[in-house]
Amino acid sequence: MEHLTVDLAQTPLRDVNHFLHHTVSKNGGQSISILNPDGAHNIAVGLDASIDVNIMGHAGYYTAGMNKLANVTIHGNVGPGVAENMMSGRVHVHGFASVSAGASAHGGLLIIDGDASLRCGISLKGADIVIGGNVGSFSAFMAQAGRILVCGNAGDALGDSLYEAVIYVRGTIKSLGADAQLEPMSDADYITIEELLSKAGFPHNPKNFKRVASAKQLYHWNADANQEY
Amino acid sequence: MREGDELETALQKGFEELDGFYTLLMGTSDKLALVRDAFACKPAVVAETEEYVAIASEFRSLSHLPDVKNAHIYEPAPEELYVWSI
Repeated sequence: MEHLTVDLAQTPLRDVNHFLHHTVSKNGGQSISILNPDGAHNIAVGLDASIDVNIMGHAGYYTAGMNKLANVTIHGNVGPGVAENMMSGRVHVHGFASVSAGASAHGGLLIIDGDASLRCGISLKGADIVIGGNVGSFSAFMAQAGRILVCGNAGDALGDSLYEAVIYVRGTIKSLGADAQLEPMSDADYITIEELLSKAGFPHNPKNFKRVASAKQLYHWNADANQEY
Repeated sequence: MREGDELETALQKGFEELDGFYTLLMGTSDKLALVRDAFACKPAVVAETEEYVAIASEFRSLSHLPDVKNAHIYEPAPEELYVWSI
Protein backbone atom coordinates (compact mmCIF):
# COMPACT_ATOMS: atom_id res chain seq x y z
CA MET A 1 0.00 0.00 0.00
CA GLU A 2 1.36 3.36 -1.01
CA HIS A 3 1.88 5.68 1.95
CA LEU A 4 1.70 9.46 1.75
CA THR A 5 2.17 12.13 4.39
CA VAL A 6 0.76 15.65 4.40
CA ASP A 7 1.42 18.33 6.99
CA LEU A 8 -1.44 20.66 7.87
CA ALA A 9 1.10 23.14 9.20
CA GLN A 10 2.33 23.48 5.57
CA THR A 11 -0.67 22.64 3.39
CA PRO A 12 -4.12 24.29 3.69
CA LEU A 13 -6.88 21.90 4.83
CA ARG A 14 -8.97 22.68 1.77
CA ASP A 15 -6.13 21.41 -0.44
CA VAL A 16 -5.73 18.28 1.69
CA ASN A 17 -9.44 17.44 1.51
CA HIS A 18 -9.45 18.13 -2.25
CA PHE A 19 -6.48 15.82 -2.62
CA LEU A 20 -8.28 13.12 -0.60
CA HIS A 21 -11.44 13.49 -2.67
CA HIS A 22 -9.96 13.70 -6.14
CA THR A 23 -6.47 12.23 -6.23
CA VAL A 24 -6.21 9.65 -3.44
CA SER A 25 -9.78 8.39 -3.73
CA LYS A 26 -9.40 7.73 -7.47
CA ASN A 27 -6.50 5.37 -6.90
CA GLY A 28 -8.00 3.67 -3.82
CA GLY A 29 -6.10 1.36 -1.49
CA GLN A 30 -3.80 4.12 -0.34
CA SER A 31 -2.68 5.15 3.10
CA ILE A 32 -2.23 8.77 4.09
CA SER A 33 -1.04 10.39 7.32
CA ILE A 34 -2.08 13.92 8.25
CA LEU A 35 0.37 15.68 10.55
CA ASN A 36 -0.32 18.66 12.83
CA PRO A 37 -4.13 18.64 12.69
CA ASP A 38 -4.08 21.06 15.66
CA GLY A 39 -7.84 20.89 16.17
CA ALA A 40 -8.77 21.94 12.63
CA HIS A 41 -12.40 21.38 11.65
CA ASN A 42 -13.70 19.16 8.84
CA ILE A 43 -10.58 17.04 8.38
CA ALA A 44 -11.17 14.12 6.02
CA VAL A 45 -14.87 14.82 5.52
CA GLY A 46 -16.82 13.35 2.63
CA LEU A 47 -14.38 10.58 1.72
CA ASP A 48 -15.77 8.02 -0.68
CA ALA A 49 -13.07 5.41 -1.32
CA SER A 50 -11.46 2.63 0.67
CA ILE A 51 -8.36 4.49 1.78
CA ASP A 52 -6.63 4.62 5.17
CA VAL A 53 -6.32 8.05 6.75
CA ASN A 54 -4.35 8.59 9.95
CA ILE A 55 -4.81 11.94 11.68
CA MET A 56 -1.78 12.35 13.93
CA GLY A 57 -3.11 14.54 16.77
CA HIS A 58 -6.26 16.24 18.05
CA ALA A 59 -8.91 17.14 15.48
CA GLY A 60 -11.80 19.60 15.54
CA TYR A 61 -15.44 19.57 14.52
CA TYR A 62 -16.99 17.04 12.11
CA THR A 63 -13.86 14.94 11.65
CA ALA A 64 -14.51 12.22 9.04
CA GLY A 65 -18.09 13.41 8.63
CA MET A 66 -20.14 11.80 5.86
CA ASN A 67 -17.52 9.09 5.57
CA LYS A 68 -18.03 6.37 2.98
CA LEU A 69 -15.73 3.32 2.73
CA ALA A 70 -12.65 5.01 4.22
CA ASN A 71 -10.86 3.88 7.35
CA VAL A 72 -10.04 7.00 9.37
CA THR A 73 -8.02 6.83 12.59
CA ILE A 74 -7.58 9.82 14.86
CA HIS A 75 -4.53 9.56 17.13
CA GLY A 76 -5.92 12.09 19.57
CA ASN A 77 -9.22 13.64 20.64
CA VAL A 78 -11.97 14.96 18.39
CA GLY A 79 -14.41 17.86 18.62
CA PRO A 80 -18.18 17.72 18.13
CA GLY A 81 -19.78 15.59 15.43
CA VAL A 82 -17.08 13.05 14.62
CA ALA A 83 -18.27 10.69 11.86
CA GLU A 84 -21.61 12.49 11.68
CA ASN A 85 -23.71 11.13 8.82
CA MET A 86 -21.21 8.35 8.14
CA MET A 87 -22.52 5.97 5.47
CA SER A 88 -19.96 3.16 5.70
CA GLY A 89 -16.32 2.54 6.56
CA ARG A 90 -14.67 2.88 9.91
CA VAL A 91 -13.69 5.80 12.14
CA HIS A 92 -11.52 5.12 15.18
CA VAL A 93 -10.80 7.81 17.81
CA HIS A 94 -7.93 6.91 20.14
CA GLY A 95 -8.76 9.73 22.57
CA PHE A 96 -12.10 11.18 23.67
CA ALA A 97 -14.92 12.54 21.51
CA SER A 98 -16.87 15.72 22.16
CA VAL A 99 -20.64 16.02 21.78
CA SER A 100 -22.79 14.41 19.07
CA ALA A 101 -20.32 11.71 18.05
CA GLY A 102 -21.74 9.63 15.20
CA ALA A 103 -24.82 11.83 14.88
CA SER A 104 -27.25 10.54 12.22
CA ALA A 105 -24.72 7.97 10.99
CA HIS A 106 -26.33 5.54 8.55
CA GLY A 107 -23.70 2.82 8.45
CA GLY A 108 -20.12 1.89 9.22
CA LEU A 109 -18.39 1.59 12.57
CA LEU A 110 -17.33 4.37 14.94
CA ILE A 111 -14.95 3.37 17.74
CA ILE A 112 -14.07 5.77 20.54
CA ASP A 113 -11.40 4.45 22.91
CA GLY A 114 -12.02 7.10 25.56
CA ASP A 115 -15.20 8.84 26.71
CA ALA A 116 -17.86 10.29 24.41
CA SER A 117 -19.59 13.47 25.54
CA LEU A 118 -23.30 14.26 25.48
CA ARG A 119 -25.69 13.28 22.68
CA CYS A 120 -23.48 10.48 21.34
CA GLY A 121 -25.34 8.66 18.54
CA ILE A 122 -28.15 11.20 18.41
CA SER A 123 -30.61 10.26 15.64
CA LEU A 124 -28.48 7.23 14.75
CA LYS A 125 -29.74 5.69 11.52
CA GLY A 126 -27.94 2.37 11.25
CA ALA A 127 -24.26 2.69 12.14
CA ASP A 128 -22.54 0.89 15.00
CA ILE A 129 -20.82 2.91 17.74
CA VAL A 130 -18.51 1.34 20.31
CA ILE A 131 -17.35 3.52 23.20
CA GLY A 132 -14.50 2.29 25.41
CA GLY A 133 -15.30 4.76 28.18
CA ASN A 134 -18.42 6.57 29.35
CA VAL A 135 -21.10 8.39 27.35
CA GLY A 136 -22.69 11.68 28.39
CA SER A 137 -26.34 12.49 28.86
CA PHE A 138 -28.97 12.26 26.11
CA SER A 139 -26.97 9.69 24.18
CA ALA A 140 -28.87 7.77 21.49
CA PHE A 141 -31.62 10.41 21.57
CA MET A 142 -34.18 9.47 18.90
CA ALA A 143 -31.85 6.79 17.52
CA GLN A 144 -33.68 5.01 14.73
CA ALA A 145 -31.45 2.07 13.81
CA GLY A 146 -28.01 0.74 14.61
CA ARG A 147 -26.23 -0.39 17.75
CA ILE A 148 -24.41 1.50 20.47
CA LEU A 149 -22.09 -0.38 22.81
CA VAL A 150 -20.96 1.50 25.92
CA CYS A 151 -18.14 -0.19 27.84
CA GLY A 152 -18.28 2.36 30.66
CA ASN A 153 -21.20 4.22 32.22
CA ALA A 154 -24.05 6.19 30.64
CA GLY A 155 -25.30 9.61 31.76
CA ASP A 156 -28.84 10.91 32.13
CA ALA A 157 -31.75 10.25 29.75
CA LEU A 158 -30.09 7.41 27.84
CA GLY A 159 -32.06 6.45 24.73
CA ASP A 160 -34.73 9.11 25.09
CA SER A 161 -37.43 8.63 22.42
CA LEU A 162 -35.63 5.62 20.94
CA TYR A 163 -36.90 3.98 17.79
CA GLU A 164 -35.32 0.71 16.65
CA ALA A 165 -31.70 1.27 17.69
CA VAL A 166 -30.39 -0.92 20.51
CA ILE A 167 -27.98 0.17 23.24
CA TYR A 168 -25.76 -2.10 25.33
CA VAL A 169 -24.18 -0.74 28.51
CA ARG A 170 -21.55 -2.47 30.62
CA GLY A 171 -21.48 0.01 33.51
CA THR A 172 -24.12 2.03 35.28
CA ILE A 173 -26.93 4.06 33.70
CA LYS A 174 -27.64 7.31 35.52
CA SER A 175 -31.15 7.43 34.10
CA LEU A 176 -33.13 6.18 31.13
CA GLY A 177 -34.89 8.63 28.82
CA ALA A 178 -38.58 8.62 27.98
CA ASP A 179 -39.68 5.32 26.42
CA ALA A 180 -36.29 3.62 26.89
CA GLN A 181 -36.33 0.42 28.91
CA LEU A 182 -34.00 -2.33 30.09
CA GLU A 183 -34.76 -5.59 28.36
CA PRO A 184 -33.65 -9.19 28.89
CA MET A 185 -30.58 -10.30 26.96
CA SER A 186 -30.97 -12.97 24.30
CA ASP A 187 -28.34 -15.19 22.67
CA ALA A 188 -28.48 -12.90 19.63
CA ASP A 189 -27.58 -9.93 21.87
CA TYR A 190 -24.51 -11.74 23.23
CA ILE A 191 -23.41 -12.58 19.69
CA THR A 192 -23.86 -8.95 18.63
CA ILE A 193 -21.84 -7.69 21.60
CA GLU A 194 -19.09 -10.24 20.98
CA GLU A 195 -18.91 -9.13 17.34
CA LEU A 196 -18.76 -5.42 18.19
CA LEU A 197 -16.18 -5.92 20.97
CA SER A 198 -14.03 -7.97 18.68
CA LYS A 199 -14.21 -5.36 15.87
CA ALA A 200 -13.29 -2.60 18.32
CA GLY A 201 -10.61 -4.63 20.08
CA PHE A 202 -12.00 -4.36 23.60
CA PRO A 203 -11.52 -7.39 25.89
CA HIS A 204 -14.78 -7.28 27.91
CA ASN A 205 -17.11 -10.14 28.67
CA PRO A 206 -20.43 -9.84 26.76
CA LYS A 207 -22.20 -11.29 29.81
CA ASN A 208 -21.57 -8.01 31.67
CA PHE A 209 -23.69 -5.87 29.34
CA LYS A 210 -27.30 -4.76 29.71
CA ARG A 211 -29.69 -4.16 26.82
CA VAL A 212 -31.67 -0.93 26.44
CA ALA A 213 -34.29 -0.58 23.72
CA SER A 214 -37.54 1.21 23.02
CA ALA A 215 -40.70 0.39 24.96
CA LYS A 216 -42.50 1.67 21.83
CA GLN A 217 -45.04 3.61 23.84
CA LEU A 218 -44.30 6.77 21.85
CA TYR A 219 -44.84 5.17 18.47
CA HIS A 220 -48.44 6.30 18.46
CA TRP A 221 -49.92 9.53 19.70
CA ASN A 222 -51.59 9.14 23.06
CA ALA A 223 -54.05 11.96 23.72
CA ASP A 224 -54.56 10.73 27.29
CA ALA A 225 -50.88 11.21 28.17
CA ASN A 226 -51.53 14.95 28.44
CA GLN A 227 -47.97 15.69 27.26
CA GLU A 228 -46.56 13.90 30.34
CA TYR A 229 -43.87 11.48 29.25
CA MET B 1 -21.13 36.82 45.94
CA ARG B 2 -21.85 40.46 46.72
CA GLU B 3 -24.08 39.13 49.49
CA GLY B 4 -21.29 37.09 51.00
CA ASP B 5 -21.32 33.74 49.20
CA GLU B 6 -18.05 32.02 48.37
CA LEU B 7 -17.37 31.50 44.66
CA GLU B 8 -18.20 27.79 44.91
CA THR B 9 -21.47 28.38 46.78
CA ALA B 10 -22.54 31.09 44.36
CA LEU B 11 -21.93 28.82 41.37
CA GLN B 12 -23.73 25.93 43.05
CA LYS B 13 -26.73 28.21 43.58
CA GLY B 14 -26.41 29.26 39.95
CA PHE B 15 -27.11 25.67 38.88
CA GLU B 16 -30.43 25.88 40.71
CA GLU B 17 -31.32 29.43 39.62
CA LEU B 18 -30.17 29.64 36.02
CA ASP B 19 -32.18 28.26 33.15
CA GLY B 20 -30.78 27.94 29.64
CA PHE B 21 -27.44 27.22 28.06
CA TYR B 22 -24.19 28.64 29.39
CA THR B 23 -20.54 28.04 30.01
CA LEU B 24 -19.25 30.41 32.68
CA LEU B 25 -15.64 31.25 33.37
CA MET B 26 -15.29 33.32 36.54
CA GLY B 27 -12.26 34.78 38.20
CA THR B 28 -11.73 36.25 41.65
CA SER B 29 -8.48 37.59 43.14
CA ASP B 30 -7.28 34.07 43.98
CA LYS B 31 -9.54 31.61 42.14
CA LEU B 32 -10.65 30.64 38.67
CA ALA B 33 -13.86 28.69 38.16
CA LEU B 34 -15.45 27.00 35.16
CA VAL B 35 -19.00 25.61 34.97
CA ARG B 36 -21.31 24.38 32.23
CA ASP B 37 -25.07 23.93 32.24
CA ALA B 38 -26.65 20.47 32.33
CA PHE B 39 -26.96 20.28 28.53
CA ALA B 40 -23.36 21.37 27.80
CA CYS B 41 -24.36 23.00 24.51
CA LYS B 42 -21.77 25.73 24.79
CA PRO B 43 -18.38 24.19 24.06
CA ALA B 44 -15.44 24.16 26.45
CA VAL B 45 -12.12 22.37 26.61
CA VAL B 46 -9.36 22.49 29.23
CA ALA B 47 -5.62 21.88 28.89
CA GLU B 48 -3.68 21.48 32.12
CA THR B 49 0.06 21.19 32.63
CA GLU B 50 2.29 21.78 35.66
CA GLU B 51 2.78 25.33 34.34
CA TYR B 52 -0.69 26.47 33.33
CA VAL B 53 -4.41 25.87 33.03
CA ALA B 54 -5.81 26.95 29.66
CA ILE B 55 -9.51 27.09 28.83
CA ALA B 56 -11.07 27.69 25.44
CA SER B 57 -14.13 26.75 23.45
CA GLU B 58 -12.14 24.32 21.32
CA PHE B 59 -8.71 22.74 21.05
CA ARG B 60 -7.90 24.83 17.95
CA SER B 61 -7.32 27.82 20.22
CA LEU B 62 -5.00 25.89 22.53
CA SER B 63 -2.92 24.08 19.93
CA HIS B 64 -0.17 26.72 19.83
CA LEU B 65 0.47 26.61 23.60
CA PRO B 66 3.86 25.39 24.84
CA ASP B 67 3.98 21.70 25.71
CA VAL B 68 0.26 21.33 24.90
CA LYS B 69 1.01 17.92 23.37
CA ASN B 70 1.76 16.64 26.88
CA ALA B 71 -1.07 18.53 28.60
CA HIS B 72 -3.98 16.79 30.26
CA ILE B 73 -6.82 17.71 27.91
CA TYR B 74 -10.45 17.18 28.83
CA GLU B 75 -13.95 18.52 28.37
CA PRO B 76 -15.49 19.79 31.59
CA ALA B 77 -18.55 17.74 32.54
CA PRO B 78 -21.95 19.44 32.73
CA GLU B 79 -23.09 20.83 36.10
CA GLU B 80 -19.75 20.23 37.73
CA LEU B 81 -17.56 22.80 39.48
CA TYR B 82 -13.99 23.21 38.24
CA VAL B 83 -12.10 25.55 40.56
CA TRP B 84 -8.39 26.41 40.50
CA SER B 85 -6.69 28.39 43.27
CA ILE B 86 -3.58 30.51 42.93
